[in-house]
Order: sequence, then structure tokens, then C-alpha cells
Amino acid sequence: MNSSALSLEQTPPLAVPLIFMLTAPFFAMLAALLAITHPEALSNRWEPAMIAMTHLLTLGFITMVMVGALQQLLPVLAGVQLSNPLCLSRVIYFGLATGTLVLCSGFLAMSPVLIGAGASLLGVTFLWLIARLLLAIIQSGASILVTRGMKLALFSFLVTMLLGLYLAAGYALPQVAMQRSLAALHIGWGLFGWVGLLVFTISYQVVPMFQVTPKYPDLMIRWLAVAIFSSLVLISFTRVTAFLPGGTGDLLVLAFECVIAAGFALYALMTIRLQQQRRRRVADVTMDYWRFGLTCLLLALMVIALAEGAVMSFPGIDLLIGTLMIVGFTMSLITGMLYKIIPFLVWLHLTNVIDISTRWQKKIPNMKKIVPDKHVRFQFRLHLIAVGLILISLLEKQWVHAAAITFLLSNLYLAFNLIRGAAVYVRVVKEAHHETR
Amino acid sequence: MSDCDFLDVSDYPAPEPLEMALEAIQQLQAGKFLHLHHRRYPRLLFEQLEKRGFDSDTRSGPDESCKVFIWKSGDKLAEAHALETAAGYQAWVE
Repeated sequence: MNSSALSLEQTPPLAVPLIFMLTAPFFAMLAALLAITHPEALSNRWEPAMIAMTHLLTLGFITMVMVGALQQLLPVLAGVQLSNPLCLSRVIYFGLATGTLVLCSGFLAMSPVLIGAGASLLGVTFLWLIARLLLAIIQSGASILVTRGMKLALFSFLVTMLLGLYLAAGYALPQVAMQRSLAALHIGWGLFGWVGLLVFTISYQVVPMFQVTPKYPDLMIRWLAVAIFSSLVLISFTRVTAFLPGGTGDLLVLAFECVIAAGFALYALMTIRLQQQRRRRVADVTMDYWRFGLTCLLLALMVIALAEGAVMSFPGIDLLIGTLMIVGFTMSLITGMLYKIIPFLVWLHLTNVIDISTRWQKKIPNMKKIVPDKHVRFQFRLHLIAVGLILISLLEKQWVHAAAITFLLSNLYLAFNLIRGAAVYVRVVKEAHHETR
Repeated sequence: MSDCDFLDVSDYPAPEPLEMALEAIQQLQAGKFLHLHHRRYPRLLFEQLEKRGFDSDTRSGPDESCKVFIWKSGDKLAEAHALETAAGYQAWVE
């Protein structure tokens, strides 16, 4: 008897993760529309439209996909069972989608009421999600190699959310002073803690699984997340308490920032090295997404290092880093993952749903037919052009509209590809049931 | 005549190993078992085996590989051969 074997019947139905993943590109499209209607926002990260755009991408796209994926991948990859998965998903989806829209509308309109309402809804939603996921992980018998990074990512998510709530309170409540200095911590915990650690943890499973690479080193799996999480804690403590005299505190923060940068560089270089060692070197456009995403990560780390060393400085350098990290690195990796995860889930659920006694088991389409490669490749090219144009538009403002339109089209095509993949499931199930009646 | 069909799926990306294993067990003749060799623990395989009326024993192979010995439920001869071969490997521990 395999205690860590999995019953698909205990995982949420396919619609549950799919609704999150199919919704995400539309939030990216909204961000693009904002850039078209507010092109001046791309010159200053404190512009309300820029803050709205950032949260449309970080909450509406990145968190939306991650949360959807977690609800299916935790059971499938780690044997972690979620109780009442359907109820959990409905509540989280409503809270995340509505909260993000209300919050971003609040930023655009500079409305304290909307900002407060959006932040509150997101806060309650995320608190419940984090608690449920942590409980499920702790109660499971899953290996520490799988769960440690996941727990630290969820704690990072919690800190990001609490900092975000406090920052939102600065906008929404006159009694709360706006503390922009905390924004750097909010961004750090969000990008390097929540997103970064979750990307690492998922990579340790999906890269060997889908790309047939050797495993990541055990030492890295066990300790990288701990090193980064600890550094974030120590940076936050040093900054918030300011207990060390000025220069010493800055030096300590810089040291821990170097640890984080080194950790992310290690992840990028190790992943590239493993991919070079994969067993079957078949052309795969999702690998191109990964290579591009990891290159953007390394570029971002270089720019950060040069900026910290005062070697490089120009207005908008923080927007450059943000674009490379959010759009270049995170969105590229997530999109590459989506093009593997969605066909895999469609195939898996078809195998489960279609009666094995019927001939339709033989007609379950191959994964490559669920989202055809030529469509994925076309969308990848649009994504590359979009990222390039966005980077150019940070310096040359006349390119903003072209960049935004390309980004919009790229995400529209992504939505089209994912929807057609999901539609394969509906079509095959319908045809199989029709045949067996 | 060999009492075992051997299938190495370790060079294939998900879900091809699962597809190949399910196809191979349908071809199993009476008295024979499938010796499946994979680079990872095939978490999703076991529910499918149960649905199709097959039993299995999972062991550790060399270089952290995973070996699954599969036979049709009720085929005592295949079961005996499978367990005898499986006994030569250590129990699987995650």
C-alpha cells in the first residue's frame, strides 16, 4: 500500500485550477489597457496608474496562476490533501479577482474607500488561503524536501500581505501615516519571498518531471529557501527597528541582499545547467520561455548589483528592475509552466473521467495536441517582442503604446491558447459520453 | 520464456511514462509481470493500476531510481515471480 500514492478523486475537479489560470491573462490585458490610457505612468513607480498596473500583474496574473496551480499541484505532486477543495477555490477566486479589481480601481481613482475595501477583501481571502494551505501541508506526510520551501513561500506571502495591508491603510485611513519606506520591504517579500520561493519549490518538481533533467541538488532544495527567507527576516528587522547605527545597519542589509542575489543567481545557473543535461534534447518552446525568463533574472540581478554599487544610475532604474523581474522573469517562467501544466491536467483528468472500459481511453489526445506547439511558439515570439518594447519604452516614451498593444496581444493569444486547451477536455468528454450512451 | 516484461520509462517527460505503463500492462500475458523502471516515484500510477485490476510492489533501484513490479490481480504465478524479483531490491522510502 503506497501511503503517498494519490487518488485523483480526492483532488479538485479540473475546472477549479483552470478558472484561475484562464482568468490570469485577462488581468495582464487590463494592465496593458492601463498603459495605453495612462502612458505617463511608466515614468514613475509612485504614479497611481503604475501602482495599479503593478498589482494587476502581481496579484491578477502571478498570484492568480500560482494559487490556481497550488490547489492542483499540491495533491498531484506532493500528496497533500486539501479538505473541501471546491469551497476553498470558490471563495479564493472570488476574493482574489474582486479584491484585485477593487484595489486597483482604488489606486486609479485615489479613492481611500476603494483601496480600503480592496485591501480588506484581499487580506481576509489570503489569510484564509494561507491558513488552509499551511494546515494541509503540516498534516500531510509529504517529504520535507517538498514542504519546507512551500511553507516558507506561504509565510513570505503572509508578510507581503501584512505589509501591503499596512501600506493600504496609509492610503485609506487618515489615522495611519503613509510609510513609503515599507514599500521596499513589501516588494522584497513579495518578489523574492512569495514569488521567488514558490517558483523554486515548484521548479524542483516540474523541471525534472517535464524537462527530463537530473534532480536539483538536495543541499539546494533543503537550504536555499531557508537562506533567502532568513535574509529577508534579518533585513526587515534591521530596517524596521533601526537598532544599529546608520552605517552598520546599511552594511548588514547590503550583506543580506547579497545573499538573496547570490541565491537567485544560483537558482538560475543551476536550472540552466540541469536543462543542458536533459536526457532527450527535443525542441520544446516551453524551454525557450524558461531560458528567456532565467536570462531576465540574471540581467535584473546584474542591474541591482550595479545600482547598489553606484556604478549604474538613471531615472527609472527601479522600473527597469521591476520589468525584468515581473514581466521578464516571473511571467515568462509562469507562462512556460502553464503550457506544460494545463495540457498535463487536461490529459490527467480525461484519463480519470473517461470510463476505462470504453474505446475512448485510446482516443485521449496526446499532450502536444492539447495546445499545439505552433500556437505556443507564435505567442512566445509576441511575448519576446512585448518585453523588448516595454524595456525600450522605459527610456523612449514614444514606444509606450506599441509596447502596451503588443503586451495586450501577447496575453490575448495566451488566453486563446489556454482556452482552446481546456476546450479539448470538454469536447472529448462530450464525444465519449455520446458514444457510450 | 521470460516471466517478466521490462519497461524503462526514465527518459520520458510526464505523462508519457504513465501512458506507456498503462499500455504495457494491457499487453501482459497470464503468468507474466511488468518490471517498470523510472527515474521518479510514479505517484499517479497506482490509482490507475487499482482501477484496471492490477497490483504492484514498489522498490528502490540504483541511483535513486524507482522500480514498480506490476501483475494482474488474481494471477498468483505472476505475483509470485514479481515478488521474488522485487525481493532483490530495497523497499521504497520517500
